[in-house]
Amino acid sequence: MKRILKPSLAGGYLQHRRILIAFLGFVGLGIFSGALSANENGKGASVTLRPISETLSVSRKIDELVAAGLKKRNLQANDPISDEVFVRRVYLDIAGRIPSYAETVEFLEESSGNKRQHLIDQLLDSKGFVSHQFNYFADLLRIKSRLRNVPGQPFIDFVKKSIRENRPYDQFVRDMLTASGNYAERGHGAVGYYLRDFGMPEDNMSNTVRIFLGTRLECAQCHDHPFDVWTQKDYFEMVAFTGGVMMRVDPPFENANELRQMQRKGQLPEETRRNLQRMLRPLSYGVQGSGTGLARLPKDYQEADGEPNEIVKARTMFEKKELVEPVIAEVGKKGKKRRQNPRDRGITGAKQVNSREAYAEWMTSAENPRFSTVIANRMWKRAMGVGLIEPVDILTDETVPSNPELMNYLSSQMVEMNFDLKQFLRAVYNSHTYQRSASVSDDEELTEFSFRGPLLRRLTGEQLWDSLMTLAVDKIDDRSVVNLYNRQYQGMDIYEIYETTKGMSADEIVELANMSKEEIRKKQRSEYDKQQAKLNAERKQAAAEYKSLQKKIQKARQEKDYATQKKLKAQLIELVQKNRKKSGRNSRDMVRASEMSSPARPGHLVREFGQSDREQIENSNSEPAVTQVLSLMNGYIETRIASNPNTQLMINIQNQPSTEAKIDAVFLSILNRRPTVEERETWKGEAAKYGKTVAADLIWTLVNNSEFLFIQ
Amino acid sequence: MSRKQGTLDARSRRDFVTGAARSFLGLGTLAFVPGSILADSKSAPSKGGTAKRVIYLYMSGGMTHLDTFDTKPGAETQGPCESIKTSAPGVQISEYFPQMAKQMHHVAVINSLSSTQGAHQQGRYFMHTSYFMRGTIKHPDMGAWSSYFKGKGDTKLPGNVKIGGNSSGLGGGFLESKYAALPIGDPEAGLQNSTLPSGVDEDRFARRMKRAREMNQKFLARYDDKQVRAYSGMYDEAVKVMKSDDLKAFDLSSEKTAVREKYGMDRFGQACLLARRLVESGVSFVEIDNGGWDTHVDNFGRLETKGAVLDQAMAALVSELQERDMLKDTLVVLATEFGRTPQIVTERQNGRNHYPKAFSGLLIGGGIQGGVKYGKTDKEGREVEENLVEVPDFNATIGYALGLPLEKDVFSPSRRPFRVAHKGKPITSLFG
Repeated sequence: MKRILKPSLAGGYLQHRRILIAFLGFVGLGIFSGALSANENGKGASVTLRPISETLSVSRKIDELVAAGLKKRNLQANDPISDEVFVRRVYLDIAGRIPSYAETVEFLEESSGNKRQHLIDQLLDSKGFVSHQFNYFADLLRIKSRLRNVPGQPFIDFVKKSIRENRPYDQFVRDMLTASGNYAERGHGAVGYYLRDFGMPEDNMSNTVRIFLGTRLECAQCHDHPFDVWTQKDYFEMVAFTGGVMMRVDPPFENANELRQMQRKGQLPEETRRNLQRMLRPLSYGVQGSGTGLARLPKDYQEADGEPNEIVKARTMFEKKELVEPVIAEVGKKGKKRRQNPRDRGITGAKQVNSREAYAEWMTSAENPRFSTVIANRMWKRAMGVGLIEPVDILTDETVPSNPELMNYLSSQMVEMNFDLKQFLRAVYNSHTYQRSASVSDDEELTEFSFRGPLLRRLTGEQLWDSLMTLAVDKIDDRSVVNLYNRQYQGMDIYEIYETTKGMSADEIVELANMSKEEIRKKQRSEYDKQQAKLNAERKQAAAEYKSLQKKIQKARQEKDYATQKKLKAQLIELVQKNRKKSGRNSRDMVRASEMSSPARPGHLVREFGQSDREQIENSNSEPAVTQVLSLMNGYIETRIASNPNTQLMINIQNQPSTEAKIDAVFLSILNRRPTVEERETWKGEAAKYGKTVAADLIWTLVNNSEFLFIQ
Repeated sequence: MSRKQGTLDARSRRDFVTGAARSFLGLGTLAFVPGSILADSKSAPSKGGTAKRVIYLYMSGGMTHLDTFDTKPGAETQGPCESIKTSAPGVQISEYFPQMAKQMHHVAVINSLSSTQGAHQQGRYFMHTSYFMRGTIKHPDMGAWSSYFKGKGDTKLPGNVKIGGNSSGLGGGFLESKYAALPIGDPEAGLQNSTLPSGVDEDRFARRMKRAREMNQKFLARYDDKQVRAYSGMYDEAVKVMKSDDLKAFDLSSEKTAVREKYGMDRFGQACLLARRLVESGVSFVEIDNGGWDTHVDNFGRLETKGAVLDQAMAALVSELQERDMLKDTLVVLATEFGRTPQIVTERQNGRNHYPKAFSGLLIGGGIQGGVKYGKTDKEGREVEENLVEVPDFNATIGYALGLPLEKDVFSPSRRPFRVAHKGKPITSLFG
């Protein structure tokens, strides 16, 4: 330990076990290598699904109601889809990526009559589902890796955990609306919902109402709503439910003042001071206060139903119910003199009366029809590409769904299933309606979509990236990477810095801050070197094995022992794969979009294809752009997948015995179907003419193709 | 009818549609031929300004008006921000813009902008399209309108480019995707993947394209969808871009370090430099997104950094355009979704909230008279007192500068009529 730490300004050596523990924690992850770790967070949720017969009876009811809707409009349902179309669609829709070659073949070759049902269950239980569902909620909740004053990590962890554990949606929402505690403390990530809108409690309320109740209040922030019934007063009465909430909390140590003074007096070296600041800043954010149920109208309030600055009580927007009784305590002389605490938003003496709890209950109640309707409609849209109500978040009293009976039914089922999104989606995916060929948007207005089948959709940026990753590496869902940005607090992440500083004295904290970047890096590097040495030894051994295998293969070839040759080849490939994964080279970014920074950097392929910048609610788009096409033609696929013999796709091809089988393998890997007779002949011809390079041409052609870009 | 994608552009497609509607519904010709002489003759021909191109700087988040270009020295609502004199007599701006102060003789400051949209998404949409956000249709933004009416001239580069990380879309609205912007996420990275990968020569590339087209045709035959057609069109566009001699316009490294530093070595500064290079190469509309103006908390602290970045880049842009004698036909616009409350929110480290009722924008060059202020707010920056400019009027002024046909009806695929700037009135008095 003495080697790591230099003498503190206060004298003596820091002997704090916690620091050591934290260090062992982070250096072990080898942050310089970008080493891949098994994705611990990625365990698919194991949830007991209800008996399939119950689910199927819901699926049949859905089909019945869709059929009734079609009949009214004199329309015919689309044809059922083939297994080939199904396997691709259902992987993309549930797991967020195309199926791998092996997954495709496995499904197509299975003969069980219930194989679609089984696959749906398997995928709903997969890590891919967690990843894909996270992308959806990240867009909805505007989750970023960097919030204004704190990292996004705890909020991200909270959302992923909730999905993984299949936390019922109503509880998930309540977790966020009633969250409190120090954000940096493990298990308090839900607080991130408030911190995302730090300093903007009014916007936070209009976001909440829009996301969970599909209703737009934001116009009423400044004046009565021009196109809806909401008044500005309604709005502030809703804001009052989160009145008195403070987003600053005490840090985990007791001497914050002492530290502040030390910083101010300039007795610390500049770097230490900066480290200290960076390290301590995220430790005092969080949420406290159960809500006063009070808010003030703006200072420039102009509507007739209130006075500027008037204190209003919390009331629900639909029923105008006061759920709590706010209390303003008498403030003695002393209190009046005291500078008004800016954190209670100008209402001195207001007591915390649990108004957040009450409002969360009201919001997520089965009695609140918009809550269940909005999430049922959103999940329906997620599977089918179009909502029964479009847009999904501008509901008014006049809103009429394209199929009102179906909307009602889905909404009641959502309640019936206790907001278990997985159960709900399971019923939708098992419907015949979902398993029909796609309709195109040109034929019908989306607001009157009749669901002859799902909508033809372009892959999202995330689906596209994750599909390319499926072509690049094996078991993509298991891969995660240590996010460097998370470890910016003296080499620790936000949880570790919280745990390390908890109960520390001011001197100890300064000591920790004293450690320069170079020292941290040096320490990390020495760990990294150790790791590398180990890896090198393993690589050496692998190389020897490789050589010996090659020799054996050569021998088998000479002896025309094809069976042995094939077996050995498989071993060789396995060996290559195993070691490629270990080396971690070039693989820092070869993870699913949900494991990268949120959002990905501008210019990244995910962003080029429309990933949300996470600035606005549901801000992703699927608009075509020249840059996307350039990227597909000349970018990643060509340079990183088709020209690298170690990618999963190339291994799939190498594994095949004949040209014909190789062609089949490319089609099965990229488009998840076998080629038509004509296609097979065309590419056999090309292969005969141009030789080996045709593999890259075929890959290029299949990727640069609407069939790849769209979910049919 | 549209199987032959790539042969019918938006206009011919629409003509076909309206033609079909005419014959099916027995509608008179007058009601329906957009773009015909008849439609034109109804409107007074707009002479317009002298702008051939636009650089549109968008301050995303809502730029405070009081602390930028509508200062109110002495007012309580002004807070700690000081006003400074500029190269234009009688035009004062805030202390955060010392470089721009030397350029104000080129600038028309619009102080009387007013919007009804106080939320970011809606405000942004309104500012870009002149229409309110609706669930049923997407409207084109000014870049797409410009590209639709003006084409892209003699360059092989796209006519309409957006630089920056904003993901709210490329602005094409209901127009065909080729009028939407080409997005550049990171100005320093430029246009990526614009050359053939090594080992792929022209012949091999042509072979690949042929095979891909064959497959695409089959997919289109099954799914005749606007978006699928659009992607087919994108391939043609992309090939054109790859063959363009103007690609070097995207390469900022060919600029001298001194020039790059003049703009500021940050994303926005480099984006402005890229915009200058692009318009020099014939791109007619470049939008740059500059986020982070949502200063609910610590407005004045944030302004110091945000202002400095904007000041340096915009001043460099204006002065370089002037040096190249391009300011006469290049319109530089500074826009945002709304202003910020005159009331300073002390409990949020002197923050300011959203304020659509009154805010400011700038118009520079392109035939615009410089050194003037247009419109006025009251002494505290709360209400517009003079020459109200609504958002459609502001956009109509941009359209007027470019000579776009403001009174021409353009029909959406669902056959609803729309206009550039939604019947806004251009401020013609600004043009000298």
